[in-house]
Amino acid sequence: MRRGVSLWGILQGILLVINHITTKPRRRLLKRLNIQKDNKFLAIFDYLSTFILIMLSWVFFRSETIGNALLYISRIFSKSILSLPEISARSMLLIIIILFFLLFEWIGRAQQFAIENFGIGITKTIRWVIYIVIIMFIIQYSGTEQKFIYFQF
Amino acid sequence: MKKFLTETILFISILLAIFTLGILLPATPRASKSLLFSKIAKDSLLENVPSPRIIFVGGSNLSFGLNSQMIKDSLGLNPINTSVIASIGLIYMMENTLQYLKKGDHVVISSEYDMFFGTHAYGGENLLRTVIDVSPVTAMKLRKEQWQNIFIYLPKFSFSKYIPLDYFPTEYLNMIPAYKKENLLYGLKSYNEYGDVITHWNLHNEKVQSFGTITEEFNYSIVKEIASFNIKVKEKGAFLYITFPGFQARSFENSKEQILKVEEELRKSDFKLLGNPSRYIFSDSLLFNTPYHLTKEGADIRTNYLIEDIKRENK
Repeated sequence: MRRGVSLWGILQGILLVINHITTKPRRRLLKRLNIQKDNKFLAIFDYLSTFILIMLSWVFFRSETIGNALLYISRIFSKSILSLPEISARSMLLIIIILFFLLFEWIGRAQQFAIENFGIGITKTIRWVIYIVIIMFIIQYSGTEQKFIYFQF
Repeated sequence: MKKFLTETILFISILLAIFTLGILLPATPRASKSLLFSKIAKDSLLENVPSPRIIFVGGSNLSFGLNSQMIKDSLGLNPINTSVIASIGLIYMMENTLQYLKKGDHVVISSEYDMFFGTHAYGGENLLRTVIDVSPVTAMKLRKEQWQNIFIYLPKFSFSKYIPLDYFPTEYLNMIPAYKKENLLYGLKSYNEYGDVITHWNLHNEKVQSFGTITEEFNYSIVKEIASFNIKVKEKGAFLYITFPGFQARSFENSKEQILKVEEELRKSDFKLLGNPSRYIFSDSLLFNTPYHLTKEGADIRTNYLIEDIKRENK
């Protein structure tokens, strides 16, 4: 097994431990600051921080060497992070679609699965239109087959 | 169960009707201003440009990598750069050119290397768009292998007709930087009177990622197709040359073995080859936005090499 994968596992473990040991202090802090548990800004902060930390740990999983991973991360946080990226028309559209997916996740965040109640109370005609639009999107924007990251072993 | 089956059949029927309508609908305003539609003007050049002529056939390595004015000034031949995009496929490009050839024409093929591997030479998604939207008469001339390659893109092609943004006027789309750049580089107005893309000549070059190693099998039938094209070119009293595309040095190294195989097979077939692959490799500073697209300076250097090679071949 590559060292990067071991480091990925260690990082995931460390993040979980930090999460567990800070649960009570964080609760106390929120209470003292009079911030409700379901505060929207807090939820957004939680989502973003979890997403960024997990994605950064995946860089170690994916890279050939730890050196490559560190180089990759250092480039992410280079001066270029402050410049506007050049985005192609297609990428821009994909970003809009991803934002749309995130919106769905946000709306359904109180449920176990974001779309578990989707379709309830919507007429069949509207539901079918949504299905057809989803099928069209899948066909229009599907890429070439990619091996899932776990299959590299 | 009966209700389930009825609703399933109804749903699939609606989907099929939308799919069929998408194929029958004309190209969207945005698509009709894309580079694929430059075929009409390029075919007109093939039909009307007077002799003596030199005709370039290949993918975007030519449209983004040639200065035809230099060819005209140095060789005294009227250049026609027929290239649109590689994914139309070399077979379609050759067959389309053949019908317009005149006695004494010089034809230069500069094909992207992956055309010689797998079935890329038989075209992809852009061939489908070309034969349905741009030149429907040519659809009947496609071969079985070409249809096999492009058939899978039919649903995507059909549903692309329903993208609302594609019906917005260009002036509105141009307010979005990404669309503006796309229209500038890959639009109908990107070409000069010879068929070269020149709109990128004043732009800064982008950071170019290298291509990975070509992994598909060498397709010997493509060399045979070019040999057969050569016979037809000779029958028309014209001359065929084959050259190599301007290509990124790093990408060249990644597929060196495969590229040398292309050269080896072409030499075996006794074509008139202009230069060799390593003569046409370029550093990143001379690339515009892909390993095959050159900056103005890169295109000038490549054209100079090509002029030297053509002169040497015709001594």
